[in-house]
Amino acid sequence: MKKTLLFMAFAIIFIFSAKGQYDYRIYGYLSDSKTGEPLIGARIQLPDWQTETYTNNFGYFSISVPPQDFVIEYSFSGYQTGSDTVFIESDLKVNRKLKRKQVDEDLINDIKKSQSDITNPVSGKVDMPTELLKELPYLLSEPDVIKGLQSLPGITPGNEFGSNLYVRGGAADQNLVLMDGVPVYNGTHIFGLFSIFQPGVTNSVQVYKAGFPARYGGRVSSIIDINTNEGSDEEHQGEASIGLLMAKLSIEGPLGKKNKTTYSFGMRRTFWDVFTLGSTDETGGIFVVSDYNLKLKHRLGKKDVLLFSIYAGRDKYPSNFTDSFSSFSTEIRYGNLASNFRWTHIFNPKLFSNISITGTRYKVSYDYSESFFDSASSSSKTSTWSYKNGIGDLAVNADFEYSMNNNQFFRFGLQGINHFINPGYSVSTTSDNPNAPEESGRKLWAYSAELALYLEDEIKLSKKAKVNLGLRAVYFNNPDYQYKKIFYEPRVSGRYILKPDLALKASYTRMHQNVYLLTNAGIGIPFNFWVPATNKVPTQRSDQFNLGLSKELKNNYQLSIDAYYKNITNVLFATEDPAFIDNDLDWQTIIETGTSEGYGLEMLIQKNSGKITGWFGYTLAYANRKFENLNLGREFPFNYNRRHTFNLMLNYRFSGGNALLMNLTMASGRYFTVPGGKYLDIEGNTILDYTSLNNYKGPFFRRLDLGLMLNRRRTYHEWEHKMFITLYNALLARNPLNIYADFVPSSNGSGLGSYKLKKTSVPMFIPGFTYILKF
Amino acid sequence: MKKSLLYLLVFFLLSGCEEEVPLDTLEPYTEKLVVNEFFNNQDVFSIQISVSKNAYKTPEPVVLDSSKLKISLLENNTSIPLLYNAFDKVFYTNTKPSAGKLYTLSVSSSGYPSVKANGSMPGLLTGKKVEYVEDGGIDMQGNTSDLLKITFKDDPNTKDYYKLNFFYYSELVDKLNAFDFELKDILSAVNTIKTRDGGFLFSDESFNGQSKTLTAVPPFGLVKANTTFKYLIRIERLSEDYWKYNTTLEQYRGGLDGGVNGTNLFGGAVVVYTNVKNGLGIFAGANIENDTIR
Repeated sequence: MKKTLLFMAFAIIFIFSAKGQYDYRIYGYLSDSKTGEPLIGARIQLPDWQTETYTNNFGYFSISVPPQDFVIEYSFSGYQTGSDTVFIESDLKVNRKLKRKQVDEDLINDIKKSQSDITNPVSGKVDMPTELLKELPYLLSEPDVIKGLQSLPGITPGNEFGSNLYVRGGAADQNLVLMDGVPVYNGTHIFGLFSIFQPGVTNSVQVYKAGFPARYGGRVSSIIDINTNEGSDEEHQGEASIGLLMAKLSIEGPLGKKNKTTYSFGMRRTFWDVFTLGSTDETGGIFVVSDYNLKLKHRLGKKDVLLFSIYAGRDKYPSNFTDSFSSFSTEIRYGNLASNFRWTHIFNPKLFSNISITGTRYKVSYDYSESFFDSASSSSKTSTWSYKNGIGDLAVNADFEYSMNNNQFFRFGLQGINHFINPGYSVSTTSDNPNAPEESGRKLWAYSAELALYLEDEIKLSKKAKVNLGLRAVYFNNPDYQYKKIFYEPRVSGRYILKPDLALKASYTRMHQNVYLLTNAGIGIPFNFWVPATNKVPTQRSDQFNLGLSKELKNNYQLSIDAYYKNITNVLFATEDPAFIDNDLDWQTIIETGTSEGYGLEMLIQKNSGKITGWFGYTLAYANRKFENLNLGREFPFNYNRRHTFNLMLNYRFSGGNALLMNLTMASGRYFTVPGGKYLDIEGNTILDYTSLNNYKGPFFRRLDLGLMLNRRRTYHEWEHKMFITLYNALLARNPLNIYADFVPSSNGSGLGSYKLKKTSVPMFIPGFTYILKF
Repeated sequence: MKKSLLYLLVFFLLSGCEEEVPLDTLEPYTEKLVVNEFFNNQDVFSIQISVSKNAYKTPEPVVLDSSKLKISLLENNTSIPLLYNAFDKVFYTNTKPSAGKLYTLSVSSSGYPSVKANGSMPGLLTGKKVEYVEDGGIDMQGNTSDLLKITFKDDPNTKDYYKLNFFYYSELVDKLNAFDFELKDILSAVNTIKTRDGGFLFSDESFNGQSKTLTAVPPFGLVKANTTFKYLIRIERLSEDYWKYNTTLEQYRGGLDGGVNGTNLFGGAVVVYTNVKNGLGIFAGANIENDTIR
């Protein structure tokens, strides 16, 4: 049986290798003529030969061409199509540049950077229009990449203000969020108010809700692949802005010789702490939030490119108090450091490689110190307590792309990751025993490793049918817990073009996950921590089916409809708040494992060019969880799922490049757990009967954010200055952050009373203002 | 001026509010019968039946008296006579429960769904030994004090649950009091719950099938003057239902709100375990062994 399958596999390979094979190749890079940014997913086709290929994440492509005159076209949404008539007698390397379409200030042109939805064989994938993300009206006029994703069908934010993503019923830690190929473990600032991803330095955002290619792995719910700018080849340019909360600066340009080296730098920081410098006020403390992105690109020669990117971001919340008798200070700090060193190499016109070494680390710490005058001993006493937890990865990835011919394309590679995890460590000292600190938890970081091999075969079966067959094999080893496993992940994705403007897509994928974030069911706080899979809390696995339709409508509208079913095993539930458990407690003992099931229907209509651009989305979603030891073993709804969700994101350009912006969400309420009754426990005390977990559907959710972008162009060096004004929650909706029962004692002092159902709502009608200068 | 701007910003951010939610948005609550009984080898059955009430209305949960109830208790499908104590409003038996038998309680009352619960009681511990070493330990304040030790063997074939309490005897008031002690043991890291009566609930997860020794050092000077007995060590072998109820109840009580609502801003609500079908409460057994130290 195995020999038969192997034979069939080779037969498939060689059948398609015989077709679509010409004598020579045109290969190279496709980029923006002005900025030099790679065009990812751009199309290269030979229209007379009905053959095509697409650029990869580096803008690289390779296409087999016939030994005669032919026309080769390069096209990408928002750009003028490049067309060359060519006759070549040997392989040809090109660095082709495309110009943006003529900009009419009253129009926004195709702003979605992506492979066409019709031809893309991957179902369940969305390419975000990054230009719209830069003008997304959000809190305090701070556009945010993650907030933009939260208005896509199938993705919910969880709590209002949260920067987590809950994709088709999956949990927040089940999304692989990549920044320039490096996983980011906590992409939030200010407890979720904002994410770490700045639209100003973002080049592309690809979201996979299903149909995950085999080159991605490690999470069970979704893949968010974000690439930052590489820097302009032509000239130095940048943007500076200041709003009510943060100041930003981004600059990019060439370094040294032209077309050799480029850089892109972006920073963002709150500034309110600056006003307290030199202050003699000994009480209080102002938080500081910052992000720094740097990317360098250097072309070593015709075949080699080096890329280095680094991100550092941090939140700091200090607080101090002093009076005549005592003083104390606390500081919470958390943040990410992510870095990637990549070398891309063209071995020959068919074979491209990307070797990278990456590092990422997320760390939380809390420091407390106190001093007071002890009248008993007539001396000053001090005590300190500090706590930290974190997770980091060191990884080496080797990815290869082999273009066998125009009908068959292979991707293969290996990824080796070392995880380093510290679930929590604290140390306390007192001036009475300065040399005898009390320690709790694990001082050294624990190590676990993952090794993955993958192979993808993208086959063009016919003019209308294309499939992507993949297999990923993963080995995981957690030596601390003697847990070793090997997993196999089949991935199948395909599309069939029914008509030139209509395609049918389907996919099945299996994914595994070996690192988890222990968090609570309520509001997430930074002290939640990551843990590795063990025998008691084993590897999670998801199986997802997706069936979709993509259609190009008139007037630049695009429609996609997807139906999905997703099942995840070994999902976690923490029975106690992980942030407050004793560091010495074995975290496994507070975890219950169960299953998650989600299914639904999503519709997305996008308009990517014209005076009005944006999208409309509708989701019908069901998502349930079941744990043997929770809720008496009964199934209950996932708390962040909303049965119906409507999203409308619009950008209306009017005269002079000004724009009116709108982001409207209307949805069914999410779920809360509220008591129904009260009864006597075994000791005679009254306790609440929570009839079921997530038994109460909150009120109808609606929120409208409005924005106005005023654009002025100065004559001085053609600098632009803009005013971005927003209004958050313009409908004054009191959407609930939390719904709970509150005990109200009766006024007769009897100790009895009743419960009232209360809700805490989000702030309303918050204006924002940002001044932007583009130079 | 700068601080004023900041306060204005904070004001807008926090201009959300707390308000009451209309109760007609809730699903109607069905009142249920509540069974409360932890039976053990040292006492006869003493079963209390009450009813749950709507949490948002004033009437408090009430204990039902026999006139409103039909109740039966079976031991391995054989009926056991139940008597009624009108003062305490409990149903009791003349016989104590026995280990290894299945007890089935059925209760019905007009206007409420009928309920049924099954419970059993584990057997005695094996290999149990209790030791006392006068002035053999150091208490939590660093003073020399007595050392109390208990050793027992866990059954390798079953998943077992225990509760351990140490008491000192106050001759002054003729009362047993729990004392605070540290459980310096692997148990402290593995799913051990400290109860509000000063004891510890734990399972055999870390020592299945093995012999286990646990120690406690009471605070110095508690029983120096005693002339009768000094300490009592109580170890209970719990049924799984008893364990689940106790652990979820302790989680409920452990919320940051002091257990008033069984929840807190950072955690989720706790659904207290019940093995009463169609009802609430607990009907479960434990085997209790007390050892006094003189």
